Amino acid sequence: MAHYDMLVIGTGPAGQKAAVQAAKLSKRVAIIEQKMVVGGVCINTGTIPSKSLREAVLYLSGFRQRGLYGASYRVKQDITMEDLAFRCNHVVKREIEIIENQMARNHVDLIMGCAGFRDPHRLAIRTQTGTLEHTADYIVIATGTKPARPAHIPFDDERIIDTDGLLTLKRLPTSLTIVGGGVIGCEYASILATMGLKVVLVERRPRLLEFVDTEIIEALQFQMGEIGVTLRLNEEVVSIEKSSDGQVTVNLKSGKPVTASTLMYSAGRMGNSEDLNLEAVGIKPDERGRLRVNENFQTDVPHIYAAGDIVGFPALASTSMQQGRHAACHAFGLACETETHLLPYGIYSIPEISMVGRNEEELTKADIPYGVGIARYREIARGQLIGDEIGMLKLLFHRRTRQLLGVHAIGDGATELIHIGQAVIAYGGKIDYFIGTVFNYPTLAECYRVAALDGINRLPRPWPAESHVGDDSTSPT
Amino acid sequence: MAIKEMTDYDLLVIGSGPAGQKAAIQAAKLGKRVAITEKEPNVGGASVNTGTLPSKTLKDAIAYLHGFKLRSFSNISYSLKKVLTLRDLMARKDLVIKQELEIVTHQLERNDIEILHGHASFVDPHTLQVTPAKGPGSVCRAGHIVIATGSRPRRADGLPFNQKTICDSDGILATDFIPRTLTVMGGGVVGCEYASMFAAFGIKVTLLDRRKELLRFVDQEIVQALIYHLRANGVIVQLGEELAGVTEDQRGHVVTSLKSGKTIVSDMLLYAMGRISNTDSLNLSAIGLATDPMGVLKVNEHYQTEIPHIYAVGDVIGFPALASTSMEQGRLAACHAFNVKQSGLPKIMPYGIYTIPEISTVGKTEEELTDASVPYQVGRAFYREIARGQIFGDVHGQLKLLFHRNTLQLLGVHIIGEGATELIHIGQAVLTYGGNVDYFVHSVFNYPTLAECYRTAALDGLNRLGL
Repeated sequence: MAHYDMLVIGTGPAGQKAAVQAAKLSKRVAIIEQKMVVGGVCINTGTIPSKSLREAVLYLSGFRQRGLYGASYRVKQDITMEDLAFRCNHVVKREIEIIENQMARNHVDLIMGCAGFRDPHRLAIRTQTGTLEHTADYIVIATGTKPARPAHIPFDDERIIDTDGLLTLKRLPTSLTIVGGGVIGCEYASILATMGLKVVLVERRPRLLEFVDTEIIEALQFQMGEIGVTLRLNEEVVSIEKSSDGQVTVNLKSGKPVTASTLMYSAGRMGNSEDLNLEAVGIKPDERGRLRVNENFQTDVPHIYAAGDIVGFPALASTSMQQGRHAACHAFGLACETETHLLPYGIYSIPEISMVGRNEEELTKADIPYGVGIARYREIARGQLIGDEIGMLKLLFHRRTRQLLGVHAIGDGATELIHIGQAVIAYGGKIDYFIGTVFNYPTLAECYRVAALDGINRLPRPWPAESHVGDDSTSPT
Repeated sequence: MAIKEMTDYDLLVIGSGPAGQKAAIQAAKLGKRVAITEKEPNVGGASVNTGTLPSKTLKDAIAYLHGFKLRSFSNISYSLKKVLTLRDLMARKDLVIKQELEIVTHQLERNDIEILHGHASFVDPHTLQVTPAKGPGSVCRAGHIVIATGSRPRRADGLPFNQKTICDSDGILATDFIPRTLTVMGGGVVGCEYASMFAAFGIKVTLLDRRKELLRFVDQEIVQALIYHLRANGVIVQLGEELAGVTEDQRGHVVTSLKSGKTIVSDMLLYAMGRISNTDSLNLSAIGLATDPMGVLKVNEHYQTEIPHIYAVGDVIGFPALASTSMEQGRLAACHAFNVKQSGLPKIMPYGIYTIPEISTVGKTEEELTDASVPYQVGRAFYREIARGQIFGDVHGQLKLLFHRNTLQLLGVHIIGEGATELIHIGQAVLTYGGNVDYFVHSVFNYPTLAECYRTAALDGLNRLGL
């Protein structure tokens, strides 16, 4: 038994960063992992494998070169699971090495085992060789999530899989039905359709990804149609049947049957809290196993923090890392600010989507008079070069002060591109920044300038003076 | 020669490359009557037709092939070479050029800018004679004139250019001759771009330069990394070499002799020793404007020549001669001509070099900071340390931040690796706002993206401060 300054449960992005941050503050830290490998779902079944898959698909399908070679161009005719898994496994292995290395370098003890609370400062850890007990001043729960598997869905991990199941299949499905149009559903639907699979995406709501800008989603939905995804929005699943010829049929409430060789049922994710013995400390997870935290990621028990997917939305690796760091800083009395309005969101669909700052609906609700400036990738040289016909970048800015309020992008490289706007928002910059700036040519970054010019040109002229801007909507013209 | 009647304009722009286009469009947006003259059959200048865009298209396609190697899809048994040949790639670039030409032409038309095809030369400080290849010429007068005639590859005297085996950088894109071995004379931007591109395609390249270092305005550590990559791709880099002579042997091979006594035999020689401004045929003597020996026009901070109503922008005024800066110069010149207040070219500008791997830099280099006795700290991130780099398979890419040791203010960003030319703009924004490296530590970046390099590099640098 040992006493630590901090014990971290879970080695995903949130846990890693909490541990490393505490170690950098010269604290004694141990991190506990239940699986045989570190990294959490991010490395092993989630983010990294799906992003590696995406990169492999983009490459092998020749998608990136479609502008030059046409939509039907393909480098490799039949992409196999082996082609895809090969690269994935390589990346995953390397990432695991990097994490183990980082822990070792920072003198973070790595304990392989399943942790549960004994009391608010004590964890019992079941390892292969027996049970250990360690105590700590602070404990960070970063155990992440797993796919929810509702009891009425006959998962068999072969023809009916959850969202973690695709990468362990022996053979690629010939056709796929995805139920659930969340981030993961959209990512897999677009990636697999790009490979040439027939994909049907079923979603209960009238549109995909409700937290994303409407115009961006329209572009995504359009593009999905182009690459062969059939969208079934506003549809509910009534029943699921497996037929003897190996097909799976999903019956929708509207009477439509949807048949494919494989069904991926995405019913959201559940927090991994059941093994933690939380009753011992009096923390109660919600019905999805998630934990409630305050703005400093403290649970109801102040010295026990929770960070990452287990605290719910947005459940992105990027934000989880920041949460982990924030929790560790807060625990040891270091000032830490997480500026939530500056968090970027990245969705790795094809095309990818990213955004930072506010969206139109939020601004309208807050009665902030905003202007919109749009650039389409096809208007700039780099967009021509990569042949991205869908890509667009949209700036939202204050009509009077021209302060940048939000950036929304869809298209190749959107998740990288967004960070330029993020910096300008962080410094309270105006869209004039983009006009007075020289960007490398040809790059996608030029979209910022084109969008800013577009936005300014749309403002009524002469540009309103300070005094009568409050009522833009009623300006007499 | 028949002369049509004289037409009056508010602004006449000579040359339809990036600088000329933006000058013309800016003036047109201010409600001015504008014409643009172009001596080539196509608008767009070197940028669209022979320079930036075609070479970037080619680079992109080759980088894509190269990417297969990086991404280690090594269990894939088919040959890429069979799928795509360099000849294919060369042909594909024409498609991009065509699309871009349509965009440029459309943009000029939409803004009611007249395109005068023909060769322009000064009659007097307000009058230009425009002479087309055939048909009658015309004479135009304008209140303001912008010279944006660009540049062309400099050709050494006595070199037997045939644009097939002995090429300048215009010729190499026009030829359909695919060499197996290539000698590149000149280690500037153009030389390095082509050397890296052809090497990535598997062509044996020898890169020569007169100076002891390549790309002198780039951070030398980044240049060293480039040289490492070039060598890893089979390029022989020989510096401090001067050309003695070039001949063709009876088998059609190019024999390049150096003053050091070395001889290099290759299928093709690319001569890329700088560019010369296109000013010789403007009849500048008629208006009393002089140029330097390379044809470069001198301008003030408003891009005015010694004759205040005549401006010069773009490659014709020399460094940095990038499409990106040229566009802004054109816009600023037009604004100045028509009294629209502008703050001038930003002090912080990125440079993008489209080698394989790409290089991009903004702000100060280590050499500059050392010369200025600014105490700086280096923070570094390798692509291989971040997840996106692993996914790309780019294990050599790196991002280097330079910041002030005491104030932590960001001073420069230098990147080599895939996507460098896009990635640099994040650092550029922070530099422009006078931000500190702290910004990168406190920011959340999308995961997995290359942008995470900024955070990793900032943490690395701060840890090295030993605070």
